[in-house]
Amino acid sequence: MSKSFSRRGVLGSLGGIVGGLLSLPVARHVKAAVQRVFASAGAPEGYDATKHWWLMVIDIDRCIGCGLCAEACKNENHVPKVPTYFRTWIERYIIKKPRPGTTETRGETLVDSPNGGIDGFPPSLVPREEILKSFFVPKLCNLCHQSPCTQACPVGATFDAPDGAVLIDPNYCIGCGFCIQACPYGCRYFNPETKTADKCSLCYHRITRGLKPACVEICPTGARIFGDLKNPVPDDPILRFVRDKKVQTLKPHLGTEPRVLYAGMDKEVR
Amino acid sequence: MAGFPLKIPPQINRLILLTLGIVGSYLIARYFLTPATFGQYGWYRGAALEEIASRTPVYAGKLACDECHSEKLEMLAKGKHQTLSCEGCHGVSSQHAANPDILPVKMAGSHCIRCHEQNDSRPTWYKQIVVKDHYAGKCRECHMPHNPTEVPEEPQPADQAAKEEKQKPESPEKKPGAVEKAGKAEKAEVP
Repeated sequence: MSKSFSRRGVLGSLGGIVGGLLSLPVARHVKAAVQRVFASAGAPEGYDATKHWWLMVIDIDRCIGCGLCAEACKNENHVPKVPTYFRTWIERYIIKKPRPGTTETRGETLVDSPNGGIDGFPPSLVPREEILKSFFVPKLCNLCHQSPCTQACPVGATFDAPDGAVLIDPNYCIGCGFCIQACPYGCRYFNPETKTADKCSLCYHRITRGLKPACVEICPTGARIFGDLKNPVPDDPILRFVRDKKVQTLKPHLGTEPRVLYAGMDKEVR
Repeated sequence: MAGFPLKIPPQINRLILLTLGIVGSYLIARYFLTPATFGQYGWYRGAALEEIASRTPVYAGKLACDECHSEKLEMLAKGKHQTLSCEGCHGVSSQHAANPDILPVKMAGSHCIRCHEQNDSRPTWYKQIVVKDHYAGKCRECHMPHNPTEVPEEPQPADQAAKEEKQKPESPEKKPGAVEKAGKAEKAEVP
């Protein structure tokens, strides 16, 4: 196979190489212009997600089921004010006494959450004599470290942020609903206004400004404790609480490694 | 025709060119359309963190209240209501914090019952009352909301005072201590 170097051929290929090299900076500028169209701004300055590690602890012994947290959450995060849409809600557990004539130690477990507990809890239908014990359990996104919702998302719209919050990118979410089914704690819902999946964002717009999440701020008994493990304050309430109390997570057998810890939880709580 | 170099049939050539074209246009589109911050922290758009954080908070928080109403917060800190948040009773107040002329929502007396009505599921340490057995009048006649074990000394607003005069002779007087007793009595039966 013979090769001939014609003037036309050499100049042509040289021109191609130069043109290609020149097109790179042009391409970069075009790319930057395209990116500017998609980007939006207005975030709080000076927050570095890699320098925080948020944690929430819930003390079941302190929850009185007033529903202020669930109400505050809806106000703060513009969640539709109808049942079935909740970022946080309160469940009432009623554990009945064992049935007479059986060897069981605890009876049937009944769980209800009328309107997420926002309107309070009516007296239970179970007569008082039959109740072994009853308590309230506030529920919210468990901030799993190995979150099933993140793994189910096909478009990378939901993610585990470096500071421990599990968030949804509303611009990326296609509303397929896989994550809603994947969450073993039922913490996600489909927002009918934005047509995207939605969930507790740990009040990300508040914690990045140094405020507490709305539910923690509003809780009248201190049943919700919130803190930053990477920046502990002197005599940090969350570190003290975790040291003093025995804490556990919901559904530990699933291996989701939640960062929401519960203290004073009975085995019936799921 | 098994010579070297292999003579590639033209239909295969076209297929290779087509494949290169598709892959090339995909790579070019990806270069321009992938957000700059995608992959900054992981397989997601890093700028989403800032976008989610850019929303304006609705609840102002106790620290904002402390800037002007520190005397109320000091009173609150002395009593049993020390763990309460201002906005739990006074309502969403970020607008009030930004502009003091916009007043926060006034809460009705029934707001006390939201937390203090007896309920079998509430913990036993928590002070609860059966409202119909407790007192027929207003909570504020005997309890200062900011320090509930104290009896209010200041005169009530005119409209409330008028109602109280009607109610007081009928209903039995109760002291603040009655709340604790009532709460304990009610909860003693349920472990």
